[in-house]
Amino acid sequence: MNDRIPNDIKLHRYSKTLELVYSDHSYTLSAEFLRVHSPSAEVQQHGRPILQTGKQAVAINSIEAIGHYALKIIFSDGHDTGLYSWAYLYQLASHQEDMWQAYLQQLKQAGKSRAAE
Amino acid sequence: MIEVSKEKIEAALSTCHLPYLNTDVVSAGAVKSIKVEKGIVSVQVTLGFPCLGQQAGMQQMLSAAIQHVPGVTRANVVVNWRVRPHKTQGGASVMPQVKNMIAVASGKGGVGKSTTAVNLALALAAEGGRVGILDADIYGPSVPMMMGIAEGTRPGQVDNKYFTPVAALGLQTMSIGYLITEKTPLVWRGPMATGALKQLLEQTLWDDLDYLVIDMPPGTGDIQLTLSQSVPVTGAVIVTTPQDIALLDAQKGIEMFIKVRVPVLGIVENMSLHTCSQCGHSEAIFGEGGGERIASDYGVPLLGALPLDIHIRQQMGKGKPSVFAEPEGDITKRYRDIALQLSASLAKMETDVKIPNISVLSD
Repeated sequence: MNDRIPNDIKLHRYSKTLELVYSDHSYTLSAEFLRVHSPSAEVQQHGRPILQTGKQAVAINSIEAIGHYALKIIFSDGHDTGLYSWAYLYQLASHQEDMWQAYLQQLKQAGKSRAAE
Repeated sequence: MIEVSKEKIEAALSTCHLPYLNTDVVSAGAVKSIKVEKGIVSVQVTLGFPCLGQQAGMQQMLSAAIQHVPGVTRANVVVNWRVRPHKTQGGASVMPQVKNMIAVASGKGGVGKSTTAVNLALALAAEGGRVGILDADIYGPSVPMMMGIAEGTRPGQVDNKYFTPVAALGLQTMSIGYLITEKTPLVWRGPMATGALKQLLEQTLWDDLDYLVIDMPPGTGDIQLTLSQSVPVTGAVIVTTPQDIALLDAQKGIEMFIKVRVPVLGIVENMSLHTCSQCGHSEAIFGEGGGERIASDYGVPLLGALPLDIHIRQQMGKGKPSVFAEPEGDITKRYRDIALQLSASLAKMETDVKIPNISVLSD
């Protein structure tokens, strides 16, 4: 259990971002980025994830710690079934750039958009 | 006259290894004060776990070590304990009146989980702890019967909102069994069941507990998972029997707790040996060394092994668990040994489980 656990998690409501503060570095993740990479089974579908589209305007309504191991994020579109483990949050934070580019690529290939339809 | 210094006393104490501490009493940080007044030495040792059964022996051992220091004419050693509360999720302690919650779980039913839970709770109390037991086994609440609580006993109510726990054999007890009749099984779906359990836990007015032992429902299904996620458990004990099929399920239990980051404090192996009541011959009916194997696989301690002894069951059936019925018996010794290992490891555990500080800013 030596995965990285943030010291602080700050939800910036107005800028719709989540700030993860680790002892040596801090990361800022957008609500949209977190939303489209939700670990929820609804999204992940057991290894065949459904591409999430039109989430540009999504915000985070609230966040809460689940047990000792994860963060529950409640999004403004009603999605609240994703439990972001500390390990997954760190993975998202540290690979943010690559994952975001990959997501944009997927959107383009699917002919979809970040904007809500 | 030889001058007795605090340093010399400390050096003498640092040669004393107390049982269950795994280190000497000085390194463990248990020495609270040393006073030297002309040859008379007073030492105060405070441990993090109740150890009534060991107290006199410890005091004697420490006194003897101090008396060996030249110049000491008398040694007064007091050993006592103070159980620390453990911080739980969300930072603040969710239940300030409960310092530690120990979940007793098993991968499958029928391995003696409830028997272990009840006897462990009694053993912790016998060592001087303030202990409660919560029977979370909604499908087969057996704690009331095992504790000899009369059928039809209901917990007291306060403000139509809270329950007062039922006192029995020195424990504070609460069970879903108090709220239903023994003959009606509960036909509940997952969310209802977990909701009911959370209520039972949170709306019971526990009275300043050092330890709350939770007898979990058997298995690793939805209810167990939700429970271990939503209840601020300090640590878990897995009960198993030595046969392969039970061990397989015990592994699942361990994996589940690892997943939700509840520390597994150890494994209790039940029914490890059967001694024939006729001829006295001992036989490992369910196989040998299974508990040990799984413990070493996961790097958790094997806290103890209990024999398949007809008395354990008979006493339980009469509502007099072994630890209560035979306070000096061999079975009780084993349970008390397990209880001490457990509480000592809880005391050593970091008080603050690392949980991020969560804040919401309107910027």
